[in-house]
Amino acid sequence: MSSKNMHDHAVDAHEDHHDHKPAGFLDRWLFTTNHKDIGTLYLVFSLTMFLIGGLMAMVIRAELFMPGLQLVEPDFFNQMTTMHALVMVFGAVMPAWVGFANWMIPMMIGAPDMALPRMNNWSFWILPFAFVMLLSTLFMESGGPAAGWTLYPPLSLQGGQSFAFVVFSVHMMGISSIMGSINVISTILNMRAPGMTLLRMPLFVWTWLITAFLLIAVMPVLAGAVTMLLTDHFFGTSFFNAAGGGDPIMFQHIFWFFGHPEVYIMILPAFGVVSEIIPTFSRKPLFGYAAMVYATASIAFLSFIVWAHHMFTVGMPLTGELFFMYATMLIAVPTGVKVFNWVSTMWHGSMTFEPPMLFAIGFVVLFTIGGMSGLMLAIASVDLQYHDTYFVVAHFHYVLVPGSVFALMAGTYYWLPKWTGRMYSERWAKIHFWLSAVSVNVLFFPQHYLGLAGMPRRIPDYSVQFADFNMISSMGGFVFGLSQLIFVGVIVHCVYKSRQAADGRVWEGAKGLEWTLSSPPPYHSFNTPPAINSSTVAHADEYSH
Amino acid sequence: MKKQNTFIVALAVTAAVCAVFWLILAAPGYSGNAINMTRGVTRQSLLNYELHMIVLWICVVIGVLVFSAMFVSIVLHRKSRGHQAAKFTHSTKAEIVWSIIPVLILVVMAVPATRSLIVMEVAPETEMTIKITGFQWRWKYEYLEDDIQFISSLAAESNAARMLHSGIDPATVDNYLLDVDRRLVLPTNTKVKFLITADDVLHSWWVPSLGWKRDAVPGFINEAWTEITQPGVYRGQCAELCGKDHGFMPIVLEALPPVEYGQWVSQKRREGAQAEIEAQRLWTLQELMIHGQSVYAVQCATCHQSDGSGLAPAFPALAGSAVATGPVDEHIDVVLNGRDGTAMQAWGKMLSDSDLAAALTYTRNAFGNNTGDLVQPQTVARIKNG
Amino acid sequence: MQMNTAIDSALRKVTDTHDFQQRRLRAVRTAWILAAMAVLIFVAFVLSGVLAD
Repeated sequence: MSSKNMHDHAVDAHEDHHDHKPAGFLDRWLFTTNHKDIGTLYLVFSLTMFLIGGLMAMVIRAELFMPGLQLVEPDFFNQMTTMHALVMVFGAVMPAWVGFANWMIPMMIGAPDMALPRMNNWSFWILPFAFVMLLSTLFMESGGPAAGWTLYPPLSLQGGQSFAFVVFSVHMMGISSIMGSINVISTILNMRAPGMTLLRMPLFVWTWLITAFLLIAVMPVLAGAVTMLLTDHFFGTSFFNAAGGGDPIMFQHIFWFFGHPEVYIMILPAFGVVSEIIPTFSRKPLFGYAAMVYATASIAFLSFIVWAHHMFTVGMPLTGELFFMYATMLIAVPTGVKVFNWVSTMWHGSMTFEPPMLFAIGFVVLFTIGGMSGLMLAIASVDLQYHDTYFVVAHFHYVLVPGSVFALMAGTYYWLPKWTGRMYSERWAKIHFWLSAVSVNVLFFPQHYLGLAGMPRRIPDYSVQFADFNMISSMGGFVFGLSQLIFVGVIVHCVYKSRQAADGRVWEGAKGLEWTLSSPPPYHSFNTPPAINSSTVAHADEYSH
Repeated sequence: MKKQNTFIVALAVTAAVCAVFWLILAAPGYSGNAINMTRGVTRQSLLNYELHMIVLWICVVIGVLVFSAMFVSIVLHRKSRGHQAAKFTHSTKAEIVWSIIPVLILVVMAVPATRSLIVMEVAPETEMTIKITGFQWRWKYEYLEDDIQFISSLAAESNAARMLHSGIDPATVDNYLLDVDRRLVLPTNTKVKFLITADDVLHSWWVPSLGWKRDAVPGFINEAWTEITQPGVYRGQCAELCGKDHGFMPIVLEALPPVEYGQWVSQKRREGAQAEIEAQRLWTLQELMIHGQSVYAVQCATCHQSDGSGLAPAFPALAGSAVATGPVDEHIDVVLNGRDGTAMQAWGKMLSDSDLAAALTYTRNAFGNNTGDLVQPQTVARIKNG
Repeated sequence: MQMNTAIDSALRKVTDTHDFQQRRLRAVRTAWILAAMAVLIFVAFVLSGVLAD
């Protein structure tokens, strides 16, 4: 019955398509079923969250500027670290990638729109409600969540009434992500133009296909974990309460079974974007296309069998620790293949260094540094020293900030002229890059030293021996934070003020279906399937034979 | 041509900034700050240090190779230099090579990593056992063979300086945030087993010089072991987020040569016997108030604040509170057994009867509570034992 | 580009009549299967928690 309804809706949605945009503001944005408008909504939402989460990071770095407590109480500090992580992970990085998926996937595979346009509208419009609910907890009497984004019990169960709001907002984010992923998979599997075989898809589409499967596999796991927390807190169950026969460590197993694939959910689309950009500006096809696809798939597979490397200190049996150590070390192999392939793509290319390429190169270098500290953390024995220190903070910020976030910026600078039909200020974009690239290292590199010297993470105040590097890190943080205002400025200028029109191809070396459309592209990307041939396909398995 | 120059200049500036940054700040002689993992004072910590350095250097070498290839390419294979793009798209040979070499490197790393992990986890026959219990936000140590036990909290001087707007410069406090009122004392060259658990939430017991940390999980007991080779004072902290004062529950471990350790044990036992006598006698109000103030400052003021005003909403005020000015027995019950679902702990298992009696008397008479009630250690003992 | 003749000749064989309508209906089927997967995983994990309890 309901399946029949869905069919009818799909039919309506299709027949509704005309080649002009809805006139009213509400019709255009609130009720939109258009993949580009929804993509824009996702990206604007994510940028807003990026700034809110960034503001929280500024509070954290300001308090850590010197030893002693100058600005906030420790409990508020813990709320800031918790909310910063939740907002950045679920509000900034994940929705940004869904925004890119919405904009680019139909254009890259030669489809008119996403397969399920109404569900697409839903999966976006759930998000603002989820985050208003989450952020509102900061204004409640009991304060926001303060147990870290990992929500480990029993500490998270000490949270006040706001806890229920946190759990429900996580549920809503989960539903939004799952619906978004279902849409991505349905679109990629069913809506490709004739001739766009799986092994001719751009890597960004490939990485998103794999990411979407990861999301569908693990978001329900997170939902299950927080539901059990909720019943433990309010309904007297004891899933994670030792006194009632439960086990607090069980939560960590379930959480990280979600959590490790989750970190790849944030980085795999980044791999995809970088794999699009480097060939364009090297004017040379991607090296080892098939190997890149297989490497992505292996990383996704491995992500399901390494979760307990986040838990080497909880007291696992030796054999368990050995298994998770070996499995984690193995991830270095496919990740290495990716880095080597990017370098080989540049090798003997004809490179230019426009802003997208600068960010992509920054990504390759700094992500590799983060990957290497990841390999160090995989060594279970030494992890008994590294674990829960600033070394870990440095590691995951290297893979997330100059990793995922740089890739997001690279992608924005790459496709912004396509989206808007106007060129942005390359000069300011380059200033943005250099300021960000230098300050992000000043911000996070000294944190390696802090961690090795013995500073635990998630502390609001520290011993004076850690003072110097914390101050440097904070100064880097302030510069990095301010530099992002340039990013906002460049985008706003491009959308509203720029008078320099961009042509369809935009970049000299760009290949792929999206560049065969005008800039900005028509409201319904491909109403008739495009011809797939060697001049319109960016990558293909055939290229590597 | 101009664009190309800008790029080279920008690259050079970045390189220079990084180099200056590295030289000035990473040179330990200049800043006095440690930048690397400690070698520590146990076999485990030394093994971990060596393993850390091996993996670090392997990563550095790989990084230098990969990044050099990339920067050579960036400098030489630029369009502005007129470089034409090559056409190659893959090389099966190269791809096999750079899959297999990393596997070999990983195997080389895995051998010492496995050996070291076995040393960490497989405890030898140990000579003494310490039970460590994490509380929000202090550690309890029990010497199971010697019948000694005590609570170790953040030292009062650090505790005063770390308050928001305290006006005290942390640099003037010795071992700011890394000092405690009672140290864990251990003998050197002795194999010690630790049984680690927690009472309320997760904690993690970590002294970097021992080379490992181990989570303290309520309801479960984790094991770890050590054998300290050098006498000295070693400092660490709780490493698992455990609530608002997670940053303020340090660990100080003093390693003594076995003979001195023996003396320390007998002194501790004498003090224990003395405390038992103290708990039997009747105290005067003044004695209880003086002792109570010091107990309150270390144990209670963290949440209820030194002026008894509390921290809304989680930590209620004691000044004028219904509990602190109400019936004595109920007040004692709350302090002994804690309040479920709040951060108020069961202090009965942490403090001695004399400490409890003093703190109770103090809170019933300070902050304008003036009940005039006097709680004796004997009264506490009677209620504790039902 | 000469090296791409393989892909071009392969594509000449494509004779797919491309019907977006039909593809959308197929996409809806895919979506239901995926949604069922998500629900199953959620139930499985909560059940495993209940059983372990």
